[in-house]
Amino acid sequence: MHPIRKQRLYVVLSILLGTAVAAFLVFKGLSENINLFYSPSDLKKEKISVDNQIRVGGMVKKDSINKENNSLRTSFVITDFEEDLLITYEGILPDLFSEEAGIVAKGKINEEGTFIANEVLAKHDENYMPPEVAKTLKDKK
Amino acid sequence: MNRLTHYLPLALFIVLVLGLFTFLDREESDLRSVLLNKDFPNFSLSRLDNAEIITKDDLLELPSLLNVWATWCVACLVEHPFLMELKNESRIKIYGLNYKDDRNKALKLLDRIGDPYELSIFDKDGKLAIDLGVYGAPETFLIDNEGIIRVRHVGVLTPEVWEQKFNSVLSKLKEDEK
Amino acid sequence: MIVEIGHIFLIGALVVSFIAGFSPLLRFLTKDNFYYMVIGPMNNLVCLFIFLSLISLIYSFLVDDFSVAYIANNSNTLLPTYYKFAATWGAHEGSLLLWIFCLCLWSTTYFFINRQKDEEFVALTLSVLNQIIFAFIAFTIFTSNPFERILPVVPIEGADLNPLLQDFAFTIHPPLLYLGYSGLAVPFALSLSALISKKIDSVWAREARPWSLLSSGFLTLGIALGSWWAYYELGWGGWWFWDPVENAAFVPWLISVAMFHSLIVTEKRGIYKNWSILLSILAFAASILGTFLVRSGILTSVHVFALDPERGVFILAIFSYFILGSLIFYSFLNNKLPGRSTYNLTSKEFGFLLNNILLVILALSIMFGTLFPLIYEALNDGDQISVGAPYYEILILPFALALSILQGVGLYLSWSSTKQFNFLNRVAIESFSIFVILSLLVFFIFGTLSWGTFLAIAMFSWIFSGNLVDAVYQSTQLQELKSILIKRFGMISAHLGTAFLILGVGIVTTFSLERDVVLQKGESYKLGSTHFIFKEIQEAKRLNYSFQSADIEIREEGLIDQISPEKRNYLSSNQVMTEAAIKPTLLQDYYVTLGEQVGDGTWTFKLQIKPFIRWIWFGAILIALGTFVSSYRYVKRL
Repeated sequence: MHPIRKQRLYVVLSILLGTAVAAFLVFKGLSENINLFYSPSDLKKEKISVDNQIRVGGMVKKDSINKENNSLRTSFVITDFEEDLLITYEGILPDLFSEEAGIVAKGKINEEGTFIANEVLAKHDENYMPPEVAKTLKDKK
Repeated sequence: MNRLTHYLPLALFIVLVLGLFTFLDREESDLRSVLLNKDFPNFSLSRLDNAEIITKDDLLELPSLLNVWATWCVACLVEHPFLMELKNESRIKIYGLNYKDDRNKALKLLDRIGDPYELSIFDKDGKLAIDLGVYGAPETFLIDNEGIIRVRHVGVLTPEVWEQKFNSVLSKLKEDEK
Repeated sequence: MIVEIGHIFLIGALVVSFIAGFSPLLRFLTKDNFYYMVIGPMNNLVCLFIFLSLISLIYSFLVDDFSVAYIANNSNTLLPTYYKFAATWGAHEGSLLLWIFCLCLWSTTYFFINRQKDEEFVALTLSVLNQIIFAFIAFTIFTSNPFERILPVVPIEGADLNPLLQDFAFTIHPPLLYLGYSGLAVPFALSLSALISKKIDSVWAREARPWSLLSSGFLTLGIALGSWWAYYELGWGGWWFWDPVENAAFVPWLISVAMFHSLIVTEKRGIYKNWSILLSILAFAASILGTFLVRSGILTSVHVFALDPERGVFILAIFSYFILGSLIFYSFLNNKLPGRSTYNLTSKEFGFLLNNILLVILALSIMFGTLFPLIYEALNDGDQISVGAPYYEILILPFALALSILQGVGLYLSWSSTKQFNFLNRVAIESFSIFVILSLLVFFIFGTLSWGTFLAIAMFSWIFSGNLVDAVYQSTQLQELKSILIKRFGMISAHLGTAFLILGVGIVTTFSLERDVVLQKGESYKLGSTHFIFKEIQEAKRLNYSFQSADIEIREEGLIDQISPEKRNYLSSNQVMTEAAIKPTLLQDYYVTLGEQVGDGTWTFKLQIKPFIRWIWFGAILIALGTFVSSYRYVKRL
């Protein structure tokens, strides 16, 4: 083969190989690591398997935060103004977590319909509401 | 072959941009009219021309139109003559929702080209607009006598749109009243 | 008054940058070289105007002029003076102005280095830069003006700067990052100028290289500082979250690294010209996307774009103008470039090609992951998703591995075709010895090993031997070694930097310990081999916040120390913030966050031990140092 042809072949082949590997990883990564977002009303409507890691979001209801004494366990209720959802979490809550703050929790739902969170996020800006939460609340208000 | 590869990046970019625009368009056409046939949301905002705070109850003349506009919105100027026509022929009252705008600029513009609105609500931060699910300006809503949103239109309000989307509903409302 | 002066300077800069940006058109029509000669001085005038404009905004911050909306929203009389100063770039509007100022610094530096050079080429480059400056000043004035007043009712007190941003690292993080972002405009402008004047050659490549190196260096520092800030300020001990803001800086970084490697080949061998030009366009595109889409909040959701049509359309217009414009120039002005040289699979050229393919594909995949939630939302009728960190971790590992392998041997490959492969044996033996020694050391320190650590240590050893150890081993005389080290200092430093970074990341991700605990006063908790003892808690007040602080004693073999994590309540915004306490040592950090009171004298804490975390930032500093030294060499030779 002509050297320049050959050279071009190498280039094209390595680009194709690189892209194929990346496409494979992107596909694999996306199929395993997408966390769907649900509002409390969505959860009422849809049955979610107890094994699925999902994200839920809404506003923390007033007077619903319940902290156990001498323990890291907290439970609270979030709402989208239509349905409520009980969440329990064991660990330190973020600074901006408070009543009537918009939050997003990551975790799984159990048989009784309680959400067991392994991560609770309240974004680090008091004016900021996580976009999904803002949208959920807006849709329902 | 070589020539072709030269145009490849340009072609890719154009496809990308076109794709992006169709996305945004889709978003527009797929609008889920969240508030259709629901109560007009409550609000408490100031008037455009003075600092007086107004609420939903100040929208006295119903049925009426609520038109979302802004000085930065070019398409709003396009529909402006038709809004003036609606006002001058007293076909319906129009309330304005001045959206994410500068108060002085807005008042100056109305002075210059004429004010089709009974009054304008000054919504600098887009608070009411968010409740209404406004995607941009212009948008027009028809509110019936009970304060319920009956029609929503995104984009320029033309005489054709008026005939097709608004007038039929409006005449039906008037019949029901009788 | 000062505010109006600043505003007028900004408008003045708008006008002058417009003239400077488009005066090549006049030159084209009149053939009068005068229109080239004025561009340089006008460019400097723009820089001066922007500087004065920025100064007047800073001044207004210092004197608490709350009649300015931007200041009222981001500052406050209680704020310490230093933070009033830094609050200038605490939010969107002011940071735009800073961005423009950074770009002006680049364009003026370019002018002073090149004023003796080819008039047309320099004038064209400066005019492209001024078009960019013009576009962003227009964006600032029309959509995000920091000088806008709130009249007639002036607030007496401002809303305060977000407490998270009241931190030294965060005050210098944006300027560094922006120097990096805006620096990418220079290679972009050079490419356009070269396309137009048909001078795409080695000289052009040599000229473009220091600028891409410098931008890369500043991006490295900016990203590292951001990560360091997140580590100690967010209070969770995380140092990289793969969130859109971080990715938006990481993507241009990857592309700029690809670019300065590709430019080496263009300079030395006269090939990959098209590729280098495309990379400079891609890097600039990524930089616009990075700065503006993220800062203006548009990347969070399609919805934001639609809700703020003005900014969104403006950004799209700017983006399309520059990228579409440059691609049109690329497509139509690009003659078949001469100077092909042949190479085969074992050549240095091919090594660089692989490096570029890997870096660019990695960058594009990260960008895809960042934008995917938007695409998904648009396609699925508003359903929202997020792409988790594991996506990026799966993605980056094989690429990092391949790049490290290249990094270790790339140095020994010859142009065109490599004939001798002795180096493979040498590097393999050297790196294996280092690998064994390091693995034993790590095992000795942590008492355990995992696949992840093995991999990280292997990558470290390979890069380390390929870049440094072999040079030491091969040189027979001290003099020889010295000259090699000096000659290659930039490259060695940057490559070793990546090696340290990889080692740090590998060890901190596998050996970190973390535990949320409830402690009563006097109680202690044992994490790993360390005792954390809760001694005391007290309350007090400082200038603009009140706080509670806990005294925690750390006890370990050969180490007794006390640290005090705090919980602050900022008075003017009533915002609560945890301030983690960190005890750094050479090998690991002890990291304690104060939670809340859950009983009488009982509090919750998050205790963490982070081994080798500092090596990550140390690596980043080495990388930046390497790029700075290399670019300095190039500039000196110009």
